[in-house]
Amino acid sequence: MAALLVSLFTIVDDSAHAQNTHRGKLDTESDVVRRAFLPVTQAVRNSVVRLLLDGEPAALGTVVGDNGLVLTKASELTPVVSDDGQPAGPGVVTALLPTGQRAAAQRLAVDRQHDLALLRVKARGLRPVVWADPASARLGQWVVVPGTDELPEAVGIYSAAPREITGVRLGIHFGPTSAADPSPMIGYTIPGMGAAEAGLHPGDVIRAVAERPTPTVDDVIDSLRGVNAGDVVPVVIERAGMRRVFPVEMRLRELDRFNRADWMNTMGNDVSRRRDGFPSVFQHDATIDPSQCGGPVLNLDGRAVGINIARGGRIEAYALPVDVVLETLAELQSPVLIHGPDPDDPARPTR
Amino acid sequence: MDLRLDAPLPRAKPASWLCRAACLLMLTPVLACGSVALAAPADRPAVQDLPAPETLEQLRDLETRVQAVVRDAAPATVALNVAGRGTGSGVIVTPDGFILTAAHVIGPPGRLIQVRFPDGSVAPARTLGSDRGNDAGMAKLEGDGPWPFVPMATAASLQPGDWTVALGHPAGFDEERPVVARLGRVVRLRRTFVQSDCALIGGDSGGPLFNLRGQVVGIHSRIGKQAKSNYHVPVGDYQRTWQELAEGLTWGQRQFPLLGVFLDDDPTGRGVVIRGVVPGTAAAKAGIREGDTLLLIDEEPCTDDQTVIEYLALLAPGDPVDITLQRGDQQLTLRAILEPRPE
Repeated sequence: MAALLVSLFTIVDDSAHAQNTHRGKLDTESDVVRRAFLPVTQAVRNSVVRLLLDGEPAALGTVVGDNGLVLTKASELTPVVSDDGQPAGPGVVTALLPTGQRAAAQRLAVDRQHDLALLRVKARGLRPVVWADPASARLGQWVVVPGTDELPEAVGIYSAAPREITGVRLGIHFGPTSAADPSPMIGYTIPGMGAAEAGLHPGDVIRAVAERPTPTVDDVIDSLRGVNAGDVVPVVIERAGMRRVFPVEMRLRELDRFNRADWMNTMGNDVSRRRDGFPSVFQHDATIDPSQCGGPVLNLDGRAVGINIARGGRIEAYALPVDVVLETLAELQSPVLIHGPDPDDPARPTR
Repeated sequence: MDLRLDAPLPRAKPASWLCRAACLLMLTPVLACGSVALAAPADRPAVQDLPAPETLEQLRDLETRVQAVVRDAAPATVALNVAGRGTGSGVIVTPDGFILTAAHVIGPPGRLIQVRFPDGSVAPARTLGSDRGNDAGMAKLEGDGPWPFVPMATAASLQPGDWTVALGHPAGFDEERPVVARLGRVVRLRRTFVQSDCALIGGDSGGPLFNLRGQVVGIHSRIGKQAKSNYHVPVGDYQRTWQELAEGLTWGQRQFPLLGVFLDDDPTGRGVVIRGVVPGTAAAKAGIREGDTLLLIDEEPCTDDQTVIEYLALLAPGDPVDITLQRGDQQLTLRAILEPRPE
């Protein structure tokens, strides 16, 4: 019976074989599809700039105010530091305008939590984006990512409502637990992360994190809420019947090539260096690469529903929703930050 | 020189199964059966028959339909927690609780699994049958229902270029982010799979692919390296074998086909060089020769040997493949009928 079906379907398939592929040109984000969005991107022709770091495209920027005020993704405008501690370049930022001209850009302030930088681009004719009503967002609505060209850089749909993307980690994988003993045991410490650096070992049982007892794996995860990257938290472990306390630095997670999810997420695309640790982002499926973050995400009315802040993985980009952007913008524009010392100065503490 | 025979794969799996490790749950067994809700064939949205939307109005029409699919289908798109296997996704297609999923998500029949609904509520279900050949799997909720469900499309109603919406629980259930929606189009239709550019990842396995009418057209199964390489079990496979699946039968085995060539990356990056053809195989019968450069396989560019191997591994013995070659200054397209790999 099964064999009969198989041969039957082979015959059917064979005759139709040639018509069963659409030859790539109709892909969801192909030129021919993106062309339909021209009326949308035309409305923001002077509201998006491309930012170059030491001459190389590094991010897009969203025009948010008069006099060339631009918001972008902060971490993309920091030169990569190689293993020997040397930055890849001097870190000069210039803006490429929709007209094709270049303009100088000055960093005014940085918000580390949301990874937003406020710049002033010294150019005339830039117009701020028009923001959408934050309450208007719906799952499944189009998202349009404009660049400095006529066609959008990418299009997709609004995949998931705003949520926190926790970023800080101890840097461990848990070992197996049983119903009889649900105590969280370390199965593996990720090299270079806080737990490994502090001297935690596989086999250690975690009894408390940040002063909170941790009878189960879920308690360990819960104990990290409200902890930020860079914080040092006390971790109480039990090893060979002895309790010991280790101070562990919380870090944003690095890619781990032995982690199956990381491997899947990076096999066909690049992900942003800073791609988690965001208090509130919505998720969409427009295919952007890390250097296409920082620009606006538009709805079909040409209004901005947010700012792209990270390529998170194979299926997702993250964007800061309008309310988060506006709140952060107000803070970044407060007099202290604008008139304070040069935010490029590494000695200056940033938030 | 590192030469690769096109099949079997050098490593264990052709493309990644989309599963994720997670916790276990044991409950009490019951058996059940039910009827199938088949959507009546109906009008295709006009936008489906355009190569691409052309106006803002057509984009708005598409948007309205996609939003409706997401809204209506999300409640029936569940996460499945299978003891010892991890988490995957599934979709309820009857009011009495039959769930379509992937064979590699549920494993053997008769096991109790945990179903999580997008609102966070939990219900027990029992695994039913599976076809390990095409990765179709079935489960059924234990309670009487009625459960939220979505209709299935009629078999073979999809066409290349059709707009589709993928739902699922990527990386497992997350209360803060219940169901994740992705838009795409049908890239390729084959006997054994539907390929779309709806991007999938681990945890999506077993989740539903919808047409614009909100009918299930496929179930997420595998992914390849490219973001547009996402493979779904055609819904017709479930309909054709509904009885067997519902009775808890398990059958089939993934059969890897053999083309019969040795591959090597072309130093110029133009394609993949054929370094040898095994006599008597599909490649030899089709007329492929040593020294040919593989440019396209079923119209897919051959960027490296891995792409070719990955694609062939999706097919089954008996499947035809169209191969475009560079031979000297001549370009030609040959059709090979894949053969079973000898034991």
